[in-house]
Amino acid sequence: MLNNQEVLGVLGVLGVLGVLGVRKRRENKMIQSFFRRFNRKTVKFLAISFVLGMVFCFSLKTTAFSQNSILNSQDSQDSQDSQDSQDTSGLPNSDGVEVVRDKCVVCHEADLIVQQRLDRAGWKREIGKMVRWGTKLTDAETEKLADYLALHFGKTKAGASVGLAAKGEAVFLEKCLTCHEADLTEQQQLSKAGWEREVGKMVRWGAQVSEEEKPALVEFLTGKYGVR
Amino acid sequence: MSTRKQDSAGVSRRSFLTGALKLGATFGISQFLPEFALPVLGETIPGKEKLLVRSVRPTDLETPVELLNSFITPIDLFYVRSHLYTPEVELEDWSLSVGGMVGTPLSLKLDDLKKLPRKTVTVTLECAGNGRAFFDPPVAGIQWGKGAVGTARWTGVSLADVLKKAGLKSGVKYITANGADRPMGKVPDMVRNVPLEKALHPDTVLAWEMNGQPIPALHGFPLRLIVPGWEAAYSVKWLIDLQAADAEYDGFFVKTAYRFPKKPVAPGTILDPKDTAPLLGLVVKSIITTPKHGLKVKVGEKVMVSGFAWAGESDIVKVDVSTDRGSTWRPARLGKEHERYAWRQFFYEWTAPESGSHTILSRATDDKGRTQPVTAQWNQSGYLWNVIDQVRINAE
Repeated sequence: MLNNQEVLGVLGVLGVLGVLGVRKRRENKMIQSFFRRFNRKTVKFLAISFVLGMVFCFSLKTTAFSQNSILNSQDSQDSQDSQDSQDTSGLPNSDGVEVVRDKCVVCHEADLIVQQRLDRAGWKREIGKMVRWGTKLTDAETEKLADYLALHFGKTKAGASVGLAAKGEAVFLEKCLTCHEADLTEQQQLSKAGWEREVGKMVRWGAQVSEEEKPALVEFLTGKYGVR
Repeated sequence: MSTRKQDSAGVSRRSFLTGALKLGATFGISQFLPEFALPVLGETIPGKEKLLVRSVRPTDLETPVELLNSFITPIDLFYVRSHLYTPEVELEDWSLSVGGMVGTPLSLKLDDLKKLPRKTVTVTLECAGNGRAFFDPPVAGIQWGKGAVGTARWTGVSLADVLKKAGLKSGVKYITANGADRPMGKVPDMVRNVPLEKALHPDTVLAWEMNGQPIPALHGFPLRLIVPGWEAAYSVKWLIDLQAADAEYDGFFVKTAYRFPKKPVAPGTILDPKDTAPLLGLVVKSIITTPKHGLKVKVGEKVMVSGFAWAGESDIVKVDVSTDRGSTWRPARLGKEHERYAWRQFFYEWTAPESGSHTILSRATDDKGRTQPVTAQWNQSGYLWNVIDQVRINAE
């Protein structure tokens, strides 16, 4: 597929042709026969609107790019807050989201993705199908995409708050697995209220989870071991 | 004169803009469009405001089952399943070609079809993936709940009459059907094929009317193939081409998709397509549409439990309802409307005997003795979910 610059180039050539059409209308037979079906005003209108449209689109896209890059740099500096945020498409803003936006949400919307729950192998199969169907992805992008999709749209529903869940995972590893193994947790599928009750019970039973750590732990548990 | 000039300029401008949009689509120009030019998520689809939007583009819309309460599903409530973008078909540009292994290849306008004997069939269409969201482990694809099903009256002509006009050569085994929807990139085209015996059945029709009006764009304007009783992907929308062939069409939607394991597999097993067979008729199934799942009722209050049962080409002979989590079953009353390929409505009057949560189950049986299972047969594409249906009601 052509990149943005190449598309611009193609449009530019077409635009120049349009302008030529206005100027050379009477000189070149081929161009003359092509443009005969349009009147002079139409050709002029096409040429001008084409060029103006290109400039307009390009300026908007450039603005969008620069806004994105500002957002991205804020992301890396201030990862916790911005990673928690999510746009209206339902795509959590973490590493890999840019691949989804650039390569997937071109032919279809994010809605098609966010409703699905697949493990990494399942997402790899879907990505493979999409590549066969025309999506251009590098190997690195494929891996990044599979990681992103499996993280947020994995077999169990990921919590909306990725940063919080990551913090919760650390709590889980440090505070829960001291007394029991992960298997005890993994076999369960509980709602958020259910995990809150379990965490409460564990704290009553002696788990050293602070009040501040509780929401993060519950977020992690609900995301990874929640009901579908 | 000046009016004519303006007109021609207007037309050129319009066709130019359409052309530019098509060109843009070809070069992936949607990346180029500013945010406000892209479809807004959460937007409802005109004419389908009450449906759940599963995908904006391609357009996939599910009916909330509690809205299904009539034998014929009104068009505004009828679910939509599209693999590709909805094509804009202009009737004056449209024609149906019939080719392949035929004596006389045909190119037919709608008026040509209308000269043939009319045929109306009442058909329940159900997406093969209806219920996909319930499979565990979860499978890829549109996560349909229970509402990718509906019943409409389809009017047109028998496909057999059209094939007869073209004259099938000997050795034809399949009729391949293609619509005006065009894939983007290398996405495979949505092409399906119907085995000859089913294609020649007089009830298999080429329809231009849905519930008495021209088929709307989302449902296949101007012509849709209707293959009664079979999973709805056979009922190709926006039909433009029929080919008589001696072999299965070699394309994704025939050779890979819409296939089911030849033998039951353990959940999670991914099979090679050679170990799968094409889906054909729908299986026996029922859904409770009223009361809505989670409804609160008063103890002692009469509740009319109703829903629909269907079994593809087979006839529903009974629907049983259980209000004690399946320990005992009692027959529901079947609705009067009864047509060969359409669902039967069922009714069961129930009164909550005590407060608390009550589960109501429905189980349909067809004339072949098939009945709904307790657990689904897991398959990698999530097709044919038909376990005993249930809703929960809270009585206070």
